[in-house]
Amino acid sequence: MNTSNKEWGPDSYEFRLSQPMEEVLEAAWTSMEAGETSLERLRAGARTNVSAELLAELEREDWLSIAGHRFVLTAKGHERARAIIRRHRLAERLVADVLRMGPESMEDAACAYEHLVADTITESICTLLGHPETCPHDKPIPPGACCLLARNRSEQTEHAGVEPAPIMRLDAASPGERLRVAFIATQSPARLDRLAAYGLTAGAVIRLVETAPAFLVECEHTQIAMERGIALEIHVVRIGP
Amino acid sequence: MAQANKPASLSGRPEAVSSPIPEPMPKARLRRIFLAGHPNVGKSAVFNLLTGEYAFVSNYPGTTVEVTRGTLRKGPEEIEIVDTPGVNSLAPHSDEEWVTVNMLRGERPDVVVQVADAKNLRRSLLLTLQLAELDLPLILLLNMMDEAEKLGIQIDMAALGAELGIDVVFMVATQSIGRDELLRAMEKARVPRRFRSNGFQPGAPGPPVPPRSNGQVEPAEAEESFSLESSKIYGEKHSTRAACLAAGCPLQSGCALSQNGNGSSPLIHAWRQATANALAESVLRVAEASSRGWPCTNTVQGWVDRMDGWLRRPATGWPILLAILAVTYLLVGVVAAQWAVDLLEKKLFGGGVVPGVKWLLGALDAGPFLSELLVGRFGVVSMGLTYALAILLPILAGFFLLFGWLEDSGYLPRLAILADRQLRRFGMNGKAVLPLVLGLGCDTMATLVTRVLSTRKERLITTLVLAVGIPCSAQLGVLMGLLAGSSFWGMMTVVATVGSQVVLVAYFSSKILPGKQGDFMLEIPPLRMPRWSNLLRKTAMRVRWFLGEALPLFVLGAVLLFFLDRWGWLGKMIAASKPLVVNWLGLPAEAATALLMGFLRRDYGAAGLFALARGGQFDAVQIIVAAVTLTLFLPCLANLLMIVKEFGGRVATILALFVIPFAVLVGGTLNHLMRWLLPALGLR
Repeated sequence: MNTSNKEWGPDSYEFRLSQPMEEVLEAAWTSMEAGETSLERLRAGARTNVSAELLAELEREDWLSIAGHRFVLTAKGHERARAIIRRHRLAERLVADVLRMGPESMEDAACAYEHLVADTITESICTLLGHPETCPHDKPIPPGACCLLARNRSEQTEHAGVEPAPIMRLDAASPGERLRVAFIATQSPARLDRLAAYGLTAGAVIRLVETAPAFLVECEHTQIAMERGIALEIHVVRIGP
Repeated sequence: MAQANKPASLSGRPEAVSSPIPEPMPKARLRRIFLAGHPNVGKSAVFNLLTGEYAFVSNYPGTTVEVTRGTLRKGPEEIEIVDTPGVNSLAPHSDEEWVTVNMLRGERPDVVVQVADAKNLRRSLLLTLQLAELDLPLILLLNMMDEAEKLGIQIDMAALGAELGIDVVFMVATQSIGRDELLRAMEKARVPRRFRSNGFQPGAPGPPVPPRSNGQVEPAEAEESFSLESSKIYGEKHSTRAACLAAGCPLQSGCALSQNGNGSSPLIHAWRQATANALAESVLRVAEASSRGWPCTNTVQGWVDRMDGWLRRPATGWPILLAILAVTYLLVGVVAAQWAVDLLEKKLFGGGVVPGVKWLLGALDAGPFLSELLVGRFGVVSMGLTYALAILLPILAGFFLLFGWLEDSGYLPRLAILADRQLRRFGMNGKAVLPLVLGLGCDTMATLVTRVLSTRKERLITTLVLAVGIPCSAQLGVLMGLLAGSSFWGMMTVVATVGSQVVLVAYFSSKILPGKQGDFMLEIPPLRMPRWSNLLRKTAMRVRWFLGEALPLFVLGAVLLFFLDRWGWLGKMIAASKPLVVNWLGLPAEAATALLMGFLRRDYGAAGLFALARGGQFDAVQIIVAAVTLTLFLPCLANLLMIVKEFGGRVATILALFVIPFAVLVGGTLNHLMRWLLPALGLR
């Protein structure tokens, strides 16, 4: 947990930051989100000891400007903080929705993850999750390039609304809707195999036919009936009528 | 440590470009051809078209649970055609799928014909990619082309064939369209190209980019090619790490996705899916107007869709089921069991055949022994043949016809949806509807069909319920005839008693038996109007099968009884069974012979009881007790042997030791209860 982490940083950045520095930027983002720019708030929010040296280093490298008791993120710092926050909140979504871990491990995993993973992988996780807009705590996830692309695509092809459709469980959809499978969160590989054999995998376009007495889903020209328990593991996004 | 960097380097690796020219197969004589494919795509229909023989064709997944073999005659050549149970993927999850996968691995056919539903090209290609990994000559046969065309689906078969490196032919098997093309394609069947996973990056944005254009193809011997040697990956517990390595996944087993399984890799699936989608995309043209198959505005289809909904929903579905049962009762219990049996038993056998044989014997001066053996009380003709041909045959034919209609219409999968929630309480799920309803046809076949269920626990419970409480067609028909003379309340008593016992048995066995409940996931085929030609052929086949199986036993039973009677043992046995039959069950002593026949075949016993009842030897309570006892009894020797085959001797023994005393116990209790209760209530 020290400077050796510098070599580990996401490789797409010119300047790599130590983990404590990233923690400070993250805390700066969240306190600004709450409308607070005091240094006390920054110190309270960071998961690291915010020493005077650390702040000085951040200021010297042009991530943060400090004036009296207040701070503000520089343009460069803002961009970096945004990326960290995005990774963190996406990781929370991944851990909570797909891996189904409890809140505690969710936080740990997300904290470790935010410092490690390359942007390309972040984008694919974002895509896998269906470009979610909020983290499990309902805070906004800053959109990435992939989200904007997906939004454009859906505007062009579906003439749909401006906002990308939120990801939801299959039971939240109503019969007759056309849906795209975002991901299938299951503990059972056999179940995943079976669904895949019917063509039900992430990215598949389906239509919900009926929700009771069993879920009935149309994929290509096949109708598949399944018990509610399986349907609840299928997460989808709406793609028009 | 370098993992984070790996995707970039992988994607940067240039794909090997080579354009192999697939070697045409050396002109060898074809000896064995496999039909494989998803459930309910028409493999059996293709089999029938090729061989001129008949494998059962129905409209629900799981019609074929065992391999059917037939011969295709082509000039002087004889080619073995093998019809296999449907598979959803080559990683089997149920016993019927195992049958096919083991066959494909073990028998190495000369050509595999993948029968596919032309309406579901993406899903079909997913299986094609798996079959391609077997390195056997392959033909893709797009069946049900007529239905696909109605939906506005057009498939560029030449382009698809070129992409896969195999022949793609179309067919409408039920109308005999496309047979010659298939025969020609068999001659020059090729081993498909192998697909590389090189361009595949799990974790690339969007769906993984499938290998496209001609860079994707590698000669079969290419080392790095994404070959899942089926023996290595399918079935056997195989480490995900190796599977991931095979897929060329940069994350290897470090990724979260691969850690949730021990026999399958979601990454491989993802890759196959993407490849299949891309292939389908490039050859599929769907007419705009009809691309939205649902909801349909076309009037006829609109009504079919509405009907479909009514069948599935509880508020309408259960009344419809009752109506179907009522029609069955009318057709089988009244028309067949009374009118047709009257005609055959009384007029044909009683008035024609038996006197005829008697006259013949008299004319030949055959003597009393032969005359007694053939037309005596337990005569081969007067009892064995009469029971089989005059009583059971008309009842069975009626039932099979109606049952075939239900099978072909696609009703059974809808019933599975309807009954899922109820069956779930008893450790089964909606899928168990298939064997349970088929049990009304034949419990022996149904025991085999339990293979479609995914866990052993479900199979055992279903087998037990079949043995205890599902009367097979022969028995059902006879029971219906037996009860038709009884009152409405008498019939309800039988239904309620048997029903409650089945519920009890199912409930307790679901608590006692170890194991898990399987998932309910079932493909629902479209509702179709049954074709009379198939219906009649199927009914004829089933009647023939019944005669082949039952007639010898019926004759044997008659001969057995004849000798037992002649040697005086029958009287002793009846006397010995008196405490049980007369005192406990309250039946006339003659019923003992019927119950004895019941050991051989439950329907034989039922037919015996039926004959007794028609002779006016039963009162109302006796009819009810006899019906209940016999229904709860073991179906027949064949069923017991099937249980031995599918589950082993131990399970079969336990089952028999439970079912027989149980049937007698319930029957006797009912007898005493009614004898005590009815007078107390002032009835009768």
